[in-house]
Amino acid sequence: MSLKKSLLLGCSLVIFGLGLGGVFYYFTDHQSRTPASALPAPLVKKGNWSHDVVTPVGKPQRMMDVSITPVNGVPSSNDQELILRATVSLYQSLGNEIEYHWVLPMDATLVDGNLTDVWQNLQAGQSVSVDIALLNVSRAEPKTIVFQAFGMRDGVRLGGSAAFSTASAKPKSEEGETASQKLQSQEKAKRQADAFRNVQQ
Amino acid sequence: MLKPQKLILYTLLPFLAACGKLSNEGGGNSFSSTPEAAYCASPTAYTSPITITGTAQFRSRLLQATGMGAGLKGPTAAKPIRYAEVQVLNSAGSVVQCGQTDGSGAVSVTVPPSPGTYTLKVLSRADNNHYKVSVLNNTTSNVPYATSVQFTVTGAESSPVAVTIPVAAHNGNVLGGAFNILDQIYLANEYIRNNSTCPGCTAFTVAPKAVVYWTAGSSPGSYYNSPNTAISFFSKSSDYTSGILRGIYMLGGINGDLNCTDTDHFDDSVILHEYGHFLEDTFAGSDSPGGSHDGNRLVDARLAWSEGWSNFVQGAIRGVGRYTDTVGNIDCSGSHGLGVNLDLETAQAGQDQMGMGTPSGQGIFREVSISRALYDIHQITNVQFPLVWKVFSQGMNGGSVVFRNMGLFNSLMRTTLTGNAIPLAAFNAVIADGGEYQDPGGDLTREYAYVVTPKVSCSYTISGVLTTEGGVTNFLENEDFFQYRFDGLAANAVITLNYTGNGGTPDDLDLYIYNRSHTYGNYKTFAAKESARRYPTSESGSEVVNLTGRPAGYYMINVSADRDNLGNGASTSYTLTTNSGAQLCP
Repeated sequence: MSLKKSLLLGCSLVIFGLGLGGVFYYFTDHQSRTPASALPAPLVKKGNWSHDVVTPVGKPQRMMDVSITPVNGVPSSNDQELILRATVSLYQSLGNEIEYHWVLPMDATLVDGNLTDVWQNLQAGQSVSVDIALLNVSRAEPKTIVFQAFGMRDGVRLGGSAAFSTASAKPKSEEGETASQKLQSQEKAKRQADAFRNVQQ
Repeated sequence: MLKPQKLILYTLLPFLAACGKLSNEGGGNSFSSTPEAAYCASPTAYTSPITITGTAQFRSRLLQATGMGAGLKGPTAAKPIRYAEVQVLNSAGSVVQCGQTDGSGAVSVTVPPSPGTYTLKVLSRADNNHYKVSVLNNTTSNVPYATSVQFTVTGAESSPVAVTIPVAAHNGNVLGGAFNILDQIYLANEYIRNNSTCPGCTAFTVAPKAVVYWTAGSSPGSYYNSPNTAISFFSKSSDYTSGILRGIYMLGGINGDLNCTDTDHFDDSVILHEYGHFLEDTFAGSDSPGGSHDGNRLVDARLAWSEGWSNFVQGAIRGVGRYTDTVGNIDCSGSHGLGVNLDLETAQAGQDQMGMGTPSGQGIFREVSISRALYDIHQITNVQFPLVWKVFSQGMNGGSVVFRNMGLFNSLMRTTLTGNAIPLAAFNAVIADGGEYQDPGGDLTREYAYVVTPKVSCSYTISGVLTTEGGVTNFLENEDFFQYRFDGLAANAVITLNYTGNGGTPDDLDLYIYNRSHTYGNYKTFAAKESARRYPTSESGSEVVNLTGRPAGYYMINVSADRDNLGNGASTSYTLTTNSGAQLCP
């Protein structure tokens, strides 16, 4: 067989094969997907299947999560020091500076820490905490302390806040729960947490 | 909340009525609720009555939505409390007259010509042809708010007696918050009533009654033992474990703070967003599983649709292409600003990452993309809100409409516009570029809940699954979702996934079948899965799930590329075959 005939036969086979493949492809109604690309973090981590895979609820497009926690519990009397820790977790970048403010009740006394300051270069995905020490804030009477944090995006101040109330601080009596009571409390808390995850905002 | 039939159903306990209270006890939980008092609507006629007149008003806070000083400012001018319930009580506390304010907040009621002291109350409720809503304090006592005034008559008055009703304030007890919520829902009904007329449209008169729970200084997170969480939400069902009744729950502050933390009673966007969920549940139906959403992530298409709709409808009602949620107000000694600031007109970095190179179809998984697309669509001449409402309330309504999402809405809208070239072209342009990045000529339902039935032959491909940080899934790229209408027959109960790599090691494809109401990733909502699977494990070649014993109905088949067991980057093709030998195809 000459080279020319061999090439002709080879090309014919290729064309026939492509045509057959095309016919098969046509009749099998092939559905394709485009390749994945670098995209923002989605909702669920695979390989971690459980009932608790959905992340905590929040209103749309929060810029940050802000929380306040007592470092060593809440004192029972006003002459004891209360240390509060505010934590900011930034979901999205909000410029080079994040300013924060503590808002105290009228008669609270600042013992240590700054009521307002600025964090530099906090990036999306990072968390930062700041502590404050106070007197005259205890379980003796209900008082609320607020922490705010703001950054800038497109010329608008965006941020979040949290409030801590001594009224909601756990009384010492609950520390003496029986094992059974504790289990019941935990089960109820879990049911509530599960339901909370599912509410629509 | 929005959504599926049984969102919170696993916590739903039997509903009992006893001694005039709704109550539920058992399982370690107790919940008792005093029913809301009956609406006072019918006037009582008196001989020689005395007419009492006044004006009911409230104040909210001014909003600066843009610029350095964005946030809630000082009080607005006094605004009328429109078409709200009015009661007059005698000195014994008995109701002697009922009525309603008019559209300017004016009150005109009569009392009997009996000397004495009376109390006139304007309540945070309406139940008339303008709107139907009750703004109540909480789910246990169900008491509406009221601005009230006492007055005395001698019985000899021959002309109307004018009384001064206190203006519900923006500060102090923040009574204006309750009436602002009331007023926003009035505006929502007015908007839809005036913008839902079109050929083939079902006339909108007034939405069914909604109940809103709000307490100044308190977060609805308290119902879930999370009083520090700044949250507003809609619950479509009751959850007695948490003391939740069907309704809208608005954030009134946190731990008593009204000025420095997040509140929503003056955030019209948030009020209307939650009412948008109520409208969705009432007029269309919702399949959203609920859960976290920040607008800037790929999420379950049902959740994205529900939230995207609610963002859109608040913008349409307000006539403002923004969603604005504030933090604090100008009376805070610290600072104040915005917590959320969404642009519904234009894609912005950080709110939705839709731009050049966005894979086709991704927008239906993005909340803000959906909001922007809907907002653009409602601005198309000869479409506008009436056609959006028509497709929403008629096309997406009904028991046979399931897994509602933006792809379905787009498909229905395209069908509605077929034959109307100019708006159809404008619609296609929105979904092709500015909104969903969907192929206007393709099957718009194909990326989610694609209807498949037993046919002869077809195959699908998932290609090039990539690892991203955290090994998280991507709802568009790594997952395929098929709507399977199982007929209950044994011949169609067993479904086999067969897959093979195209020129290399295939990705590990997993096969799941979810119930109609499900949460992605929640094994408790699986209808069936391969029984021996452990997560993660690496299988290859095929997987089988069996629906035998399951009732006929709507199921979601999910073919999922396991990101913990990736192939070599080549595409992976697969088929779905029933035990009758048929393949599940579009």
